[in-house]
Amino acid sequence: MTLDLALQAAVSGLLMGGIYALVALALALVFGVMRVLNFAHGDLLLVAMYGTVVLNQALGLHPYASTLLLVPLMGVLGWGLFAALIRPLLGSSALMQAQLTIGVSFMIQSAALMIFGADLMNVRTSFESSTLPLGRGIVVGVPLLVAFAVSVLACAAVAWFLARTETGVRIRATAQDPVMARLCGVAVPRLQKMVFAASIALLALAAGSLMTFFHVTPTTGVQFSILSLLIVVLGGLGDLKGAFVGGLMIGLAESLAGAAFDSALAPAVIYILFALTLLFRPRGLFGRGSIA
Amino acid sequence: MTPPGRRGRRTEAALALLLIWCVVGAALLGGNPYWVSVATTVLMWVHLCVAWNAVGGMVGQISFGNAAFFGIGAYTSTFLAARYGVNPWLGMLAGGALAAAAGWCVGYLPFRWRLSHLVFALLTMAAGFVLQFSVNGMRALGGTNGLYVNAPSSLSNLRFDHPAGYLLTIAVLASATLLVVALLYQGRRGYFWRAVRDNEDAAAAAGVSLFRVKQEALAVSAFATAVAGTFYAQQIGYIDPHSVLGVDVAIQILLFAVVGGAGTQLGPVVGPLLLVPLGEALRLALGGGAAAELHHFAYGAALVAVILLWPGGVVGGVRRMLQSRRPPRPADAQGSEPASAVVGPPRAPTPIDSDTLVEVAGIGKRFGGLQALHDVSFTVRRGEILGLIGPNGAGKTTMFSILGGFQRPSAGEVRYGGERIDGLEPHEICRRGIARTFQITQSFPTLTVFDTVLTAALVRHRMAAALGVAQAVLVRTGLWERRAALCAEVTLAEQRRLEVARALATGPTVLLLDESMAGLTPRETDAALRLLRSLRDEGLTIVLIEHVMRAVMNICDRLVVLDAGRLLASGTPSAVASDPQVIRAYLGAAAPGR
Repeated sequence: MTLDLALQAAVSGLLMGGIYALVALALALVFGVMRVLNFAHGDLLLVAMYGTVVLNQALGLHPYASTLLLVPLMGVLGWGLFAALIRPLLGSSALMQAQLTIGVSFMIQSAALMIFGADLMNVRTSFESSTLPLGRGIVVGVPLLVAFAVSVLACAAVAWFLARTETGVRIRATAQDPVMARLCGVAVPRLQKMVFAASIALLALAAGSLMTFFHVTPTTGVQFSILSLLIVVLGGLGDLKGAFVGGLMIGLAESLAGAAFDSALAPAVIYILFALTLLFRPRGLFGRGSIA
Repeated sequence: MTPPGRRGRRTEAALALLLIWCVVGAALLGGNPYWVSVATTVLMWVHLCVAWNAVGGMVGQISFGNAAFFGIGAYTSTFLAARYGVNPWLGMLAGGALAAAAGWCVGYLPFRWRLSHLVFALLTMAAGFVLQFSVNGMRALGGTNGLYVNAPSSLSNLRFDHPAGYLLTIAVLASATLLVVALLYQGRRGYFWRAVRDNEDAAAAAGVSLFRVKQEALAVSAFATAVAGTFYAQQIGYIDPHSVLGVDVAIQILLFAVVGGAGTQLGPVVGPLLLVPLGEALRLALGGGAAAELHHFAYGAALVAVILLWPGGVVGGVRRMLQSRRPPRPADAQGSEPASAVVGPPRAPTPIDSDTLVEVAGIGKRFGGLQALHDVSFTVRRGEILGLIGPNGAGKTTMFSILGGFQRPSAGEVRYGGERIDGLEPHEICRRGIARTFQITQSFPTLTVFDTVLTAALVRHRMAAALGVAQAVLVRTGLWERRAALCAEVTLAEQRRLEVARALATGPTVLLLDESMAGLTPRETDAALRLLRSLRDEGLTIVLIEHVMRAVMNICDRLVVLDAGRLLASGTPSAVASDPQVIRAYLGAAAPGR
């Protein structure tokens, strides 16, 4: 692998990592506020991705335009999912909740297979092949760059919201100690519903940006579920900063491993990297994650 | 004497076996090759679910990635046969061994560091995913094109002309796996399995090695799962990464077992028996194509519905219904109280000669910015009752956690009979002869009082001896009448006694009691004091944390006083009681200048 090739891989990996970071951030937010690890997270992203495809094929909407429509729709979906499935299980064992979300994941995946079939689907846009040269022969696709920018901005907006608004403070308080937050007058159940809906809505942002250059099959969801779950555990369960940095790291590692070995081994490299990190930092990158 | 509840567990296992052979009988009597093949599929999933249940249900370590082991089994035997002409039965064993080794690797990290169960679930799922991707890219294993099994039909090749051959083979394999798991479950290991599933801290305090129990169960599960993988490859004649390593295989295993009833012996048999034919019917009704995916959708919906509406699965639900109809059994179902027995003097594995049993030297413990303990030193002498007292937040329970191995000190060391024991795992410390109780009582909710004590006794004894120990301990602690009650159902006073009973059953030399008299009535406290005195008279050494001053002054030979993490005083109760520093810590200081 030449240096230029490595640099190219590093740049595109980091950009992709920005999107992973957004997806993982949404997952970490849910875990933080309700201690539920959602194994159907990637499959909900999948729903938004197929949504983008459908809107494009049916109405000719550009993925960016369809994002505007999909964000509220996904929010409503999240709202409904929380009320119907997550809420009744809050307070039961974490494994019960995980198994429930695995069931949801299985349902979404089979529904996608039923409706759309197993073939690759993507969206054609006018600028899908436009690129930006960065010198030394390194090129990045404009859609990837935009997706990165959108994701990082969204993450920044979430961080700002949590740090600067009253609701944000309530959310952080609930994440640290739900009982105490409740005693201080935070309406925890309502807050949880809101956070779940908002997190799922965030996925629509990621999906809209992804679909300008990415393709989707029914198994894409599981792939993103596993990736984002690994990132969240790597960053420390419930640690948002950890999830963001973890996303960038995994994106970088995946891309470099793909360039250095062959792409079939890239997941193995991520797994080993993940296990090694966990070996030395069992509570995540910044050592702030919860262990149970 | 047989352990109580064994007959029920045996009946359940027998019922599960009977069900398997009923399926075989019904399919063969039907004579229709289609039914035979459906029955074969059912039994393959039964085999997989029974294997999954050994770790996921019985030990409570949920695996989302048993497909990895299934695939390892299928690929190992198929590859060995294609490349080196190895007999598939040998390949089956090789695949099983490889899968068990892989299971050990996957389990090492989460089990060694006691990471969240969720991390274990995720690691197994990711392992399956990684394996699928890697095999996709491996030429030698056929990549995405997969591998074919080419061998003439014969029993030694595990290939048959008649579908009944496969049905009988899988029935035998599934029965064997079920029997092995049932035997493990009904023996000593089963007690450890259930204890680990119910409460890891309490299990560790009883001397059970969490790491070993989990790793063993995972290895058994992985081996058995791989065996089914080889069977599948031989039956279908073709494997590819998606069909044997795919996430949906892993999820379906879990799903069938959970719908049937995870953690029961019958559940993993019932689950596939209900769902596989249902899926087949749906698939037939919809006639192939993409719509046939509906049966997978239905499986997912069944899982969600069972978790939300029928926790415990079909078997758990039916059991609840039966129990609510049956009149409650009298508590004393197994005869009258046995002749009073003596627990006997300490049975420490290595007798310690010196008079000083435990030496605590310069212990410090820091939690982030909080210095919970600072340079604390004291000794515990043989045969004494030592009281550890101090105001709330003084660091008493932290001290116990360090003595019991549940926390590592940031500074200093603990020696037991000269051997350094800080940094050992809780079960290692327990096996050396130091047993602890918990201030917030820790019990095994689904175990009976008897089984709890028996589990602790089994760490050091074989079954026959352990039954005797458990009985003696229960009589001593006044719990014999309540032996058949579930731990989740006993009163607070009984829970406190159960803590002591569990600790005693491990055969300790030193007993660490953390507020075992808190919340008891005066009469109950008197009974507890009598018990402690008699234990000391038999040679047991006791360290206790207690706030009930009457008890402390009454029973302790010496006191150690902690305040805000520091050693304040130590000595005889009367000396400590008149120590001005101690009085100040408890009652507050007079304002200066008055």
